[in-house]
Amino acid sequence: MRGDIFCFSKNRMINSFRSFFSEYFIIPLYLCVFVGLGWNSPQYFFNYDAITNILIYATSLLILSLAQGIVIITGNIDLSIIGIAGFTAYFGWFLNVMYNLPVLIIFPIMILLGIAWGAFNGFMIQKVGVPSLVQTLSVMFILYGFLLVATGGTSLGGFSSDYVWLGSATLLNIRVILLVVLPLVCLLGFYLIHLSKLGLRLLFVGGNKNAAFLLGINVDRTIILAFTLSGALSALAGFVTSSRLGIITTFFGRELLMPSIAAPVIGGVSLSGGEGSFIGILFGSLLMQTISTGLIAIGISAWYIDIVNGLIILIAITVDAVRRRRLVKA
Amino acid sequence: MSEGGKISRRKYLKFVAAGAVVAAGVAAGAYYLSSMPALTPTPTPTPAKKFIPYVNKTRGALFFVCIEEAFKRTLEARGFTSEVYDAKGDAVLFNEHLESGAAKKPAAIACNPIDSNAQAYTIAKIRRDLKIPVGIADTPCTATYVDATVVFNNFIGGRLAGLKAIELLEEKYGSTDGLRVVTFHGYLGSDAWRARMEGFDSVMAEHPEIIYDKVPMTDETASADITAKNADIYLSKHPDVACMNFASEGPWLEAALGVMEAKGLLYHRSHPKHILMVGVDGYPNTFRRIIEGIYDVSSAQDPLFYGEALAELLVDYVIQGKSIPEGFEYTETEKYAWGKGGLNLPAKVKVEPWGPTLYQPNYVITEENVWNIKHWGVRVVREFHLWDSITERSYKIQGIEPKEIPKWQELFGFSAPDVRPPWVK
Repeated sequence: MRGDIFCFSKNRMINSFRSFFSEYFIIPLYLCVFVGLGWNSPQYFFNYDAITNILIYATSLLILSLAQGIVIITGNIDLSIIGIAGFTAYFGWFLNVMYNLPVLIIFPIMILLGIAWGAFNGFMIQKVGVPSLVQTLSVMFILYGFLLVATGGTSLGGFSSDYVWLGSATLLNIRVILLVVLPLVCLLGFYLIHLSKLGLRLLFVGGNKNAAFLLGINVDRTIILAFTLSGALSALAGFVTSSRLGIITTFFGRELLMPSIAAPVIGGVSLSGGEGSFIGILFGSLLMQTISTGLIAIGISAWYIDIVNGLIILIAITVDAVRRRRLVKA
Repeated sequence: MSEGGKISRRKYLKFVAAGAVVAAGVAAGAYYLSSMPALTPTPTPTPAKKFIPYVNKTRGALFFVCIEEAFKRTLEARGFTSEVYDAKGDAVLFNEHLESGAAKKPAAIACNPIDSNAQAYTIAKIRRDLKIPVGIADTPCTATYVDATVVFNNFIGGRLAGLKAIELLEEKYGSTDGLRVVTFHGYLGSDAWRARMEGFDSVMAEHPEIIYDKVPMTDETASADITAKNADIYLSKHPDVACMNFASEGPWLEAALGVMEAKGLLYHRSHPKHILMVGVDGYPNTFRRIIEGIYDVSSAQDPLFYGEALAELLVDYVIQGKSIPEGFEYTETEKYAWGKGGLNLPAKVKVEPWGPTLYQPNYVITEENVWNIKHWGVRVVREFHLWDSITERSYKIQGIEPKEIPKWQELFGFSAPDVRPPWVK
């Protein structure tokens, strides 16, 4: 009967929504924080400029969080992502400013450099047996040390207009980063983690390496590939940030290391591996960036920003953790 | 032992207690020995080598590299050698470097401290036990006595920026009633950046009619990306801001200018919509921006003076055993824009509780005196060949034709068509 069918569809829809938001609790959590932050000064927060600001600056964080998230899903960690971002950004500057190479040639070189460093990390971790924390920390020190020597303590600029085009141009009054980079990263991230075989392998390997091996998954290759992808994404972050900022400094990207770990974890990626989603990484990054932008927009004193920032993140993650425990018990 | 080879709790507690007793005994013995001068070898000062190491708080900014370079070059001109250690912003590593430098029995040791209290003990130990004089540049170590200090008053620096801001606002608007002023302050954990903010705050406090905002310019990572992000959100909120103050120029100013350009807020000084901009330091890029007419005033400090004067004080006075009395005037100031033949401001010593301190006089760089090649931001390019390539960036400046902008390159000693010196490759 029509009424019965309608009743069945409505319940199914409600159950689907309930199941979705239960799985991706980060989304309603993010919306609560977004509304909560803007409540005090809606005219400064619920407007095009503020939302654009959040999305633009979240793009670099999202790329690094995706890099980090992929590695964390396998049960490892990658501290070298900011070092790789800085190193490849420096090479981009070097080739662009010193040799006047166009960005279409520079960009693939930067990605290749990121891939090389990522593959090196993966090889050392999986084949040689160096713990990922130690390996990637060492590489981070090496690359930051290189950046210090290369910059000589100065900041580097003078990029050509084609290099900074992506970071500063607008199309139809919308920043190109939002039209091109952010959607591409979202598509790539979603595909990698949710739709590709690699994503499935990452989750299996992170969940239980032995079981994954018995299932016929090449664990070594999967982990090396995870770090390689992480390196490539870090190089992409280096390019996007240097293009947007037009400057490379000695401490390039350093402020993004802890947020790049926190964002995926807040979004549901398990630090012990085997669990995670791109949607979680996306909204985790947005949450971190929204809090950071929101506190400035509403005028919180700088003396208290770190405290408030930490408290909001702690509350958000506690709510999610308690909810997950209840689900498990149920 | 219980079964399975595990240690029992009783045995474990006995072990811990024994360890505690031994440790207490060692500590007591060491204290006793150290307090008995007859038992500790009195360090006899070895003949001073012509060697003075320098511990740099960080090489992560041009400013600190300049102090180090100026120090080294002045020492070399006097027949001394130096070694530089980079503490990378880590106070513990800084102390380790101080001790490593002191272990080489130098004639003196110089440094640019991160934190006065964290460094005080090590500096005192070096002076007392090793009889090695210590000199300090930039950040005074107020918690212990030091043989020579060369500094800049950051509070007055910030205050001077504030006073010039008020002067420019009154000149442009007739009064400061209802005008909005923002300060992009540095990381509050940094003494220098905090003092500048407080100096600027003190001027704003005298003008309650001004709407005064404070926004972080950066955090402890000194990231310029944070400047861009915060400037973006602030200028979206308040595009009508009348004046912006920066805790430091350099990459942070460039990040903000990039945002202003993107938002269409970058106007020449002559245009009514120009947002007044003031700041502290006097980096090389500041000069181009003042000449281009988008930046207005820099309350400058002089890192080359810190390095050069400290080296001379250590070599000509401290190592020779001569005192540096109250009121002592440092007279070799012809090479500085603020010195003889320039602004003629004296650099004098004040004997503070932490020792004789030579203060660099506070001064400002404006449109009127920007073409003086003795400013540190110009000298560092012309003499030291340290090129700050962020100066190469060009902005679309509204309210002026590009051909009307003076050739800023000539200030740095190279020809107009190039955006970088020919010796940079």
